[in-house]
Amino acid sequence: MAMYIRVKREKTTYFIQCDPTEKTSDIKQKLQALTDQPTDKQRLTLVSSNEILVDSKTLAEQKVENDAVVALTFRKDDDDFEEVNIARPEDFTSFS
Amino acid sequence: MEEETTKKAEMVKLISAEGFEFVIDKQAAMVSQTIRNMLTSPGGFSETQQGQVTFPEISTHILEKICQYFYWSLQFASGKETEFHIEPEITLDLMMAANYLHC
Amino acid sequence: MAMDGGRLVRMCIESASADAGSVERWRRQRRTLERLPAHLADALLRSLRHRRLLFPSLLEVFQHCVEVVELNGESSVDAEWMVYLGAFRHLRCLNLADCRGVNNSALWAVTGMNCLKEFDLSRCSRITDDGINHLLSIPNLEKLFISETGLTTDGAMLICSFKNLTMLDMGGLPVTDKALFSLQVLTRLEYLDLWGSKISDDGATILKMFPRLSFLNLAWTNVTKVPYIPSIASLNMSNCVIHSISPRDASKHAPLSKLLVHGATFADVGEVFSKLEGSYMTFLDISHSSIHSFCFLDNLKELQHLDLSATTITDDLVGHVAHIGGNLRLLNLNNTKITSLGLPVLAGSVNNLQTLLLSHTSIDDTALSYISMLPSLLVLDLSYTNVKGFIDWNREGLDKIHSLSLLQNLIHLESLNLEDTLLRDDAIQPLSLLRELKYLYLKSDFLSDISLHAVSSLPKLEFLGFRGGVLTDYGLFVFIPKSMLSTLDVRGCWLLTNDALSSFCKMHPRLEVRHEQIQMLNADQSLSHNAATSSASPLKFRQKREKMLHSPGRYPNVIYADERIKYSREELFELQLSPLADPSLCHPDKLPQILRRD
Repeated sequence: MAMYIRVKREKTTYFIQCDPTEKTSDIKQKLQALTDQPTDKQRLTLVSSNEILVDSKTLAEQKVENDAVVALTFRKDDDDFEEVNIARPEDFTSFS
Repeated sequence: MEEETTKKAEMVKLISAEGFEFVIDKQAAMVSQTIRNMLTSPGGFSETQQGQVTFPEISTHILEKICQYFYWSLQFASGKETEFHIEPEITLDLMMAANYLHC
Repeated sequence: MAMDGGRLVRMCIESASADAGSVERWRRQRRTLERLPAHLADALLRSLRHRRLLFPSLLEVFQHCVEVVELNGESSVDAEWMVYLGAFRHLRCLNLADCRGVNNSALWAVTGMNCLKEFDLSRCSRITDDGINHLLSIPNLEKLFISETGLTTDGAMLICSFKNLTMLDMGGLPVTDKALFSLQVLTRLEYLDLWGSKISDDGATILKMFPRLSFLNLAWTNVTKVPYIPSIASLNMSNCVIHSISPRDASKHAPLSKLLVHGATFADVGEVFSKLEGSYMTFLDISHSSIHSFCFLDNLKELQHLDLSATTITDDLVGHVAHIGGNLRLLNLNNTKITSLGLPVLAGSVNNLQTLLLSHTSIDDTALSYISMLPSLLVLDLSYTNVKGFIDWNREGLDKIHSLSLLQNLIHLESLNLEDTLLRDDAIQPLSLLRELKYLYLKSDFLSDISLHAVSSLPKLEFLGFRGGVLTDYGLFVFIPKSMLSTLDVRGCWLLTNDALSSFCKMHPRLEVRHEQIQMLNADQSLSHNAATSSASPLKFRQKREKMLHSPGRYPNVIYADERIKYSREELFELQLSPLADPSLCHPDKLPQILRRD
């Protein structure tokens, strides 16, 4: 295994095995299998830089490294994408 | 479509005390002897048959760290020698979780 | 549940005890610490101790979770530590052996520790009879070790109140028969150590009152007659004068299987052994004892471990060993008059032998052909013998064969000691055929670079001793250790320079190199780099090393890892052409006068 990234949306994190030479679109394909959302309805944002990942570019080109956190958002019915929403456990203090 | 279902079957979902979900490769989860036993024992845990395990004792940030360790462990086994950094603040909780998970 | 835990558990313990700073970042997590499973807490405490991060008030955080505390040998442990330890509610086992700071008043803190089952105070010389009074409130104590403390008979008599004792070590205490009489109420005793005490034959008669006693040590006492002890399995009468050891009814009880009579004097050795259930004995150490007849061995057909070192055994008498040799695993004939003529007698009969020790005998190369017939041999000690590595078939010495090559028949051989033999460089080469060898010990004034390189290819070698040889800096420099090698002992290789050793160590950071110069080197380093190295985990350490090698510029104070860059091209040439570096120029018998020491 070359590397993995952590794709996060709300309270879910997907650990995705990948290779630096893979394109963003390849990652979206893998996520389609897990989320049942078609690739064109997905948007990936590298959290550390807040850059939206471009389908045709590779992970290496966009400085997505091993263990990187990438936010996943879906296209809403009005064709806009949702805001990035990654829940943090601190918001659920009743459990701690 | 068939390919998609296989893809899903290769993943498992680990759920933390606060209800956060971590979807990871089955191969990574098997780094834990405890999870390996759950996934391989016939008819053992009903929820594991749907590919998900809940850990009411393990908090979210510890469970995420555990998942990162699983992947680090696979990388280490294939010869990639990086350091797995453990912040001193979480050592005790992580130690207890690792002890429970046999990893 | 595995005590050592998985890798992540170990990594957490390492991280938690990396340095004082990390400790500060978790020590306030009280609720978590209270929930910590005992075996994890024990392991963390152990790790903190090894890293020297433990101090009295830190002990407090462990009081609810720890069950085992081992502080043996820590001279800083004193009354303050004991106060904190006294609050450990679940403490089951406390080891304070060799803690010189522990005195009677410090022991006061452990009063009433209900869970404590095992307490080791061995060699705490400041503990006297008064100290034992503080222990009396620990009713459940099962194992007590108080050897070589300041206890006398009066204190020892108090021990009778620990009714649950199964193990009692009172070695090296001047206790008398009176003390032993008082202990007869301890009917659960299984292990009793009384070496060096003032027990006499009178006191020894009481030993039959311990129905479960299976281990008894009476070494260095005046006891000459051992009574019938129903369950005895292991008896040590070393350095005693022995008149009789009572026979037991082997049909009812586990028979005496282990007897140590090192340095003992026998009134009549045949008589003593004839009464024993000898045929059940598996372990006999009769080394250094004054015996002249070995006929008693004939009954000991189950023997697996036989130590006859420094006895009067000779080639003529070794037939007694051969007679019972079928089960022998270990045979120690060190310091005896055995010669190569005794080996043919043994060779056909000790086929299961795994360890054969022939150090300090006059064995020579002709013995090797018989030794090579022992198929199970794992350990062979031929140090301080006349082995020279060649057998001369005719007197002119023209037709020599390499005798060490005979050892390649020993396909399991793991450990070979050839220190202080007559071996020269030209005899060493066959050792490279011993592919299973893990430990090799060489020590000679004559062995040089050639011999080191001859054995460098051994694939499984973990320890290589190459002491006292004429090893040169260049010889060390071109030596490439195999990956399994963990220790290279080149003590006494007096030609090696400081520079050569330190650059070799840097080139092979995982190898432990032993040499007089290195001890000095390490002493210097530990003063200046203590904080930097002690806190690093092995993994981190490895990475640091790698960084050092790859970018020395970032660490201006680090010595160059590759010493070659210090030398000019011409200097390197000169080193390569120095006479000792070239095997063809270096015949060991023609060493320059200055390199010969005898």
